[in-house]
Amino acid sequence: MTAHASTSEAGAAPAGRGFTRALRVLGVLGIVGMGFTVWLGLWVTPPDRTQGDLVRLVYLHPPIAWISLYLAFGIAALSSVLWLWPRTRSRFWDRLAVSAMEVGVVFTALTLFTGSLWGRPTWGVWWAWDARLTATALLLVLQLGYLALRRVPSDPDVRARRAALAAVIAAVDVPIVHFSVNWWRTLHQNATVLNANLSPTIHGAMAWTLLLGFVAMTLVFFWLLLLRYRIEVLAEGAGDAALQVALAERWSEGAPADEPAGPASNREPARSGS
Amino acid sequence: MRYIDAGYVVGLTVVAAYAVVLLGRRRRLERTRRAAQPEAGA
Amino acid sequence: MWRDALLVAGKDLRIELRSRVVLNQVAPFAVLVLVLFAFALGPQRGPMVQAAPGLFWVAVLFAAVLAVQRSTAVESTEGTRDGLRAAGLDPAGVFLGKTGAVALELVVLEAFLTGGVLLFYGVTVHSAGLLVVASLVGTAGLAAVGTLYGALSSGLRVRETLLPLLLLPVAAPVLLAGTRVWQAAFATHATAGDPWLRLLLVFAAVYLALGVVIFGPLQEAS
Repeated sequence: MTAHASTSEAGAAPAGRGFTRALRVLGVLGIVGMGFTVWLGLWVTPPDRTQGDLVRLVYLHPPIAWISLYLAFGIAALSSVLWLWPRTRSRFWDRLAVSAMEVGVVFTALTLFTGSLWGRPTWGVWWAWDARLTATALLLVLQLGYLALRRVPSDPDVRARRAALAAVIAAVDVPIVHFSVNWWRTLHQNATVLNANLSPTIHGAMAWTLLLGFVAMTLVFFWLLLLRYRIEVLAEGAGDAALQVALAERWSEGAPADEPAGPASNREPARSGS
Repeated sequence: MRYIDAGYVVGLTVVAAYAVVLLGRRRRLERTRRAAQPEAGA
Repeated sequence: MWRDALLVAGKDLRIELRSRVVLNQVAPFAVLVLVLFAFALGPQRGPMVQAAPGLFWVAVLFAAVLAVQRSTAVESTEGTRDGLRAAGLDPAGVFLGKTGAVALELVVLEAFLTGGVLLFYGVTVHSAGLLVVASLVGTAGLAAVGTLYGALSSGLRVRETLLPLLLLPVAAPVLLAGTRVWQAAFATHATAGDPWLRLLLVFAAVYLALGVVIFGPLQEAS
């Protein structure tokens, strides 16, 4: 039926050495970077004059938020478009899209969590319908919808196209959501004094730590992204391999009892590319 | 432990947990792959 | 394209006229939503009057999900979908036609619903024109994005649960903007609704344009 870009006869190819090394480097750098960020963020940097220790969330929340929307969702949306565009169509984009979306969901949820953490002492409530939190909550649901659609079993190419289209339809909505939610919050000077300006003044050691936080989180994101991508490749291959095994078993059932069951590949019927 | 420390711990634990899940999934799939193609070699 | 659109819209509307599903099932459902909200918000007029615009649009959103489900189900027998494609109908035309049919059904429903809201929640309208325009534009956008998601999920057995999950988040800006325009229409300063009306227009324009472009590949994906 369709050719898979990098799957061989009986399952996925082993990961290229360059890929595995890049993965490991990213992982190590990311984790070490995060370690430093935590150390600097929680102990070395000074507390803020007005927000106190709470300001330390600035080393986590903005990076996570930025990654969730611009990096993860952006990559997912872009990959979806590239998959749909005939000239650039390749399994790579489809796999990248689902990987980015899934890792993105984790980051989006974390954005909500850290945002809520920040809001509780400041606003007195665990949740508030401020512009960013609301838009992020909607993004979370959009991403979950994509993943739910993706789980529906079908032919990989049909599923890829369907998911990609869903991603595009949702992606087009994201800017609209941002505008509308921001208007919602500003045109309606509502009840609580929701000082949306949680942004403290950053300088010196704080600025460096913030930069480190961004870099380290981004490295962690790409590490997770590539890890998830590899899993996607393996899962596709495993689907093929499982099919092979099932076919082999079916064939050996039909064979006479004293015939030795040879290696699976000898028994296959004409290969049906899945 | 301060409020902020707890926040950091929970947040980073989530990321770590997800990473562990992914690593576990990858290990299982690699094992399946190697079982399926013993001749091809890892 | 336009001829195909009219063709498909006519077909869908004729099916509706004969089966009356929207009239007999979706409309009562929408009214039911209003009544349930009345139960939820308590017998006092105050909260209901305040919430009325939002409740109207929530009911419209739910009704839109049902209308789109119905619109997609009509094509779900294998014959019709392949028939549409084989007949050489322009996919953009099919999209516009289905969207138009759903939009028309929803607009008729909204007329009834508006009466219901005025009756049940006791609100007074200051600017009826704004109300009508907002409903038309908002509904167009809803129908467009609904038809897209409907076609996307059309082959799937889990369509009933998947479609609301996909459609409602994307439709959230329509709910937001529609509510604001209606609030402005009920209040005395109608101009406060202008930016929101513009948002509804942008939403409708964006999704109508998107649909025209991607409906072809979308049909092949189901």
